[in-house]
Amino acid sequence: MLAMIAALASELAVTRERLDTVERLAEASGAIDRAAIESFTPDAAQSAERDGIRRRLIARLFGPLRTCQEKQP
Amino acid sequence: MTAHPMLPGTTHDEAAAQLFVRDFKMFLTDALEPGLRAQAEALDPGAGSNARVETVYERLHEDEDFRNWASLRRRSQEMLWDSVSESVQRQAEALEALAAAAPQTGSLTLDPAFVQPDYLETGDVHLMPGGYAHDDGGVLQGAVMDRGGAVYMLGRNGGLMNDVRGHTVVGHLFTQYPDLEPLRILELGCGVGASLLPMAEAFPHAEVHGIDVGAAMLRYTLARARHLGQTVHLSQGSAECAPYPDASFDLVFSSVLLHETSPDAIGRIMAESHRLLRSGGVAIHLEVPNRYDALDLWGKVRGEIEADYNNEPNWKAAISADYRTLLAQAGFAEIAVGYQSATSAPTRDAGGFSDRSEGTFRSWFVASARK
Repeated sequence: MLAMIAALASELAVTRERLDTVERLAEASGAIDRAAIESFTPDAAQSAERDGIRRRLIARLFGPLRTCQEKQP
Repeated sequence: MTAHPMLPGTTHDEAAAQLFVRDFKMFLTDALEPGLRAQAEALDPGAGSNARVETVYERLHEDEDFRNWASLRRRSQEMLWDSVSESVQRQAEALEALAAAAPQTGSLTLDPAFVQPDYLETGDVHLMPGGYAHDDGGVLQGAVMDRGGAVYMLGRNGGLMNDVRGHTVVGHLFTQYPDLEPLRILELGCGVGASLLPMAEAFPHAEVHGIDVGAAMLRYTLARARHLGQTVHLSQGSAECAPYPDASFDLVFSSVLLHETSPDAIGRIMAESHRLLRSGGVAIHLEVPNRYDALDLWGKVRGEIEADYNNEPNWKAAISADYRTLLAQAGFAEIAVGYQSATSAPTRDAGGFSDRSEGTFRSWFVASARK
């Protein structure tokens, strides 16, 4: 389990660093303003869409716990 | 969502982390609890047992699924405070500066010799690091509690203002004691002002006081009130022994305070409410909307879980107490015990008080009385 978490953390660190690179290059090319990312406020429809993405991720990741529960008599 | 100037802001990632915690907690409750409820029922020793809840709670701990869930539930609460604390620390300087820049209205009286009650000393309620009384010398502990509370309530208690309970106390006062025009008001355990400020808003001509155990909490509350253009007078003190003379107030109230105290403290707070009121004055105590007797087996087991995994040691006592008797023993008359409809816009003719709960977040338990 610890080995799995270490591997996952490593992958996440790589992804975050790559995202940072993408943001920096995009800003340098004038495509985005990184300050605008920090201050971005989703509207209601965007919030709902993002809630859905987040909740699906949680349900997928922790869904196996639910299956175990429901197997109980 | 409406916020107020003192509420800590979030960066992109802080907001995302807080929303994750909110949704993770929701998943643990909505998706996993039905299975655990069924499991608890399967482990029920039956009505013949004189320790039914305790037996089920103990048996559940032999099960890995339950232990995993309980552990994740605790972890989700720790994640909440981790994420909020880190965010507040990042903006510490700005928050202190904003507090200092507020108009100098109202007052704050701290008691350097104040010692918090044992029941708060023994565990940080809701696992908030440092607890209510932690004094960082500034406003930060209040900022952590305010932001954390708004995330914890999952947006069901007035969004980022988290103030529906305060408006609901006002609604109860309008409904049950329509003749009372309070000129001096006190909240016992005002925390970050989420209930005190709706009261001040409803009675703009009244002198509004609040006490709490936490110095940092009170500094934050004063700054919150000042930035909202409200005048409040705050003092550090305990609800069992408030630093005011007898008969000082027309209205004394508390909002979800009692379940963070102790079984003995509940009676003492009723007596203290009576002492603080002038003749004809009114006490209102709002509490969580459950009554222990009305809970099913899982509801009762959940109370044990809250006590052990979320530092809520007085939950069971607060929802089991016989408030009618306690208020009568404290010397009150005209006692009302029931449920007040949750509202964020109380009006004088809305009613909404009955002996039936409308469910969690739709109504709150209220015990009130006149001296």
